[in-house]
Amino acid sequence: MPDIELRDLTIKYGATAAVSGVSLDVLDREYCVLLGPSGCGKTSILRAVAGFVAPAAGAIHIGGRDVTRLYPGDRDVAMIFQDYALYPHMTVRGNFAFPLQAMKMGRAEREQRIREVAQLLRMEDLLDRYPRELSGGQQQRVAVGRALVRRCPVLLLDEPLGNLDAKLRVETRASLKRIQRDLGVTAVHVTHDQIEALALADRIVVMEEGEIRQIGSPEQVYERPDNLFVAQFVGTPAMNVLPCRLTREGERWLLAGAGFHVHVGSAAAGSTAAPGCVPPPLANYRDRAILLGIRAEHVRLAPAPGPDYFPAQVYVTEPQGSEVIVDMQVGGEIVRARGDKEEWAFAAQGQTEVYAAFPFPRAHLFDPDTHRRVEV
Amino acid sequence: MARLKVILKYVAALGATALFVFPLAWMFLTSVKPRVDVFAKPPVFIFTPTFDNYSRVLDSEFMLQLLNSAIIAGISTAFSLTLGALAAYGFSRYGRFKRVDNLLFWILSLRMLPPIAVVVPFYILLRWAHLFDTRFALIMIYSIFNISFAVWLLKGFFDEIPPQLEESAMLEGHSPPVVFLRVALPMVRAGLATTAAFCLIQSLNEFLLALLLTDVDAVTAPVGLANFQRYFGLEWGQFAAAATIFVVPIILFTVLVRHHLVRGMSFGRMG
Repeated sequence: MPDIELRDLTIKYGATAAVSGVSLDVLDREYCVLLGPSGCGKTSILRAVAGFVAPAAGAIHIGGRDVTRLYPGDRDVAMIFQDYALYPHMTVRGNFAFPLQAMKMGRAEREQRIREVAQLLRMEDLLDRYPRELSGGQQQRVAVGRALVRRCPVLLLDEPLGNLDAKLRVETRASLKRIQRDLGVTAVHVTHDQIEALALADRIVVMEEGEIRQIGSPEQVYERPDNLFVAQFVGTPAMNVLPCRLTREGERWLLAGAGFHVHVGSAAAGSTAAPGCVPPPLANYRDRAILLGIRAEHVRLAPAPGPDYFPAQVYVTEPQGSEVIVDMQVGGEIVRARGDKEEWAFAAQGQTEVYAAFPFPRAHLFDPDTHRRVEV
Repeated sequence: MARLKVILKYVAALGATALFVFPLAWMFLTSVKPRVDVFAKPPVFIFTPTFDNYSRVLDSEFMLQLLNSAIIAGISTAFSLTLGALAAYGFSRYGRFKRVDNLLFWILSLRMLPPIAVVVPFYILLRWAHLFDTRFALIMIYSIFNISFAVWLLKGFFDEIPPQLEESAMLEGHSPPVVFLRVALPMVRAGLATTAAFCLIQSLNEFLLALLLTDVDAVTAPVGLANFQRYFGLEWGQFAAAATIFVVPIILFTVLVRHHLVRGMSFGRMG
């Protein structure tokens, strides 16, 4: 049961706290991704789990064992470093053998383990090369192999794909996940790349300023962000966020902002709310400011006006293969929309007027003061 | 134009090289000249070479002094390198305590001391401890200077290795001494070579302390060379032969480690 438990973990560098009071359970055989901008404390957590920094307060348990004060080598944890940290003065074989030498293992068994890892990563031919003679992708595989050769139940990954080019990153991402599944290890992966996190994670832990902002599956984090930070950090392009007010107009409830409005419940198929009613949490915001978030792919565009559509001026279009990202001006704000390039051919670059709509069921609402999600 | 520039560069380089090589060449020529040609005016460049001077030097006490120099410089260098590497690693990796800069400066300040300032106290101390005119005394005294140098130079090299390598080794279950010996130390090989070269050259060249703290048994080669100044004048031929014997190993060693020396002089901050 190599689950990892962090209890009220606080990590300080001098007087500044890099991590403050973080509690987290990583389940057995789970792929957990710590996601956040640089300086959010995610790497500090990883380094504390490995034992490279001592927490100022709190405890770390691995598999039910308190390892908070244990020497790194006694924690039964393996790690893949961003810069791979390969031993430059040892061959690939030496790099694989070095961790095993600490285990007092017989020569025959050691050779066997090295062969297995080399086979798994398809680098039998490279065993006698030195790290400097390998390409970046091969070096990364050596780093993976060195972490696996000891068969630790826990694998820590510190931005392991950060130094690879885009194509290799996608390939390696898939193989990392496959290896983690096949070997049944518990993985904690640190990254600032939200696409990587969404692709790899069983659960994502979104962090900011040393605190956890949300823990959840990729779907939860993407579709129901707990707060404004998570909403804007996860997803490309970043979620559009616009200030507006909840008002009542006759029988209709509207979210009205500068140059746009959203009909509350208008497109909510099967909405239980009767006409003239809004769900209770939202009703508290009547005649008050609220933040409306809408992802680019949920913005609708049309060449002609329609009900609940409002005018927008196209600024720039960025074709992306089959899709296109349209930057347009709504009120005083820039709103980005993403959609099919052919369907949206009418949205040409350069002050073209189009009509946009924000379908209410796709909207995310946030309190303007606490930045927390308002449930609808 | 560009070609002219290259040619000028080579001319300048040749000039500088000649300036440095000439004394060495002159020393060697003097050592193989017959006695009469040594003082020939204008200097002669064509003569029958003789190895008379060499055979005389090889039979003299200079050979013992050469051995003294080798032993003193060798042991002091090995000792300083060992202690220096350990201390430098400690400062580099665990030097995050208060006043660490003061401590480092204190170590450096040992080198700022002009030897003449301590020669009398050293003389009295050594007399008192019955260590006057022993190789051991010179080994220890040279090590004071060499260690401070080694700590500073090697700390620069250790600072350059990414700590992740050692962290990785620790995580793999290796103890700190193993991490030091098998990961950190092999990565500063260039630094060790540079430091060794500088320590050796310093110890071999030292004159003042060796002159005043030795008498017969522990006399080193530089002092021995000065002793060729006899009451009837300097034995130029033998002097040059002895100096050549002394200098050749140093030149060979320097040529061997020249790449490291260049890096060392820039304090490990290159490549």
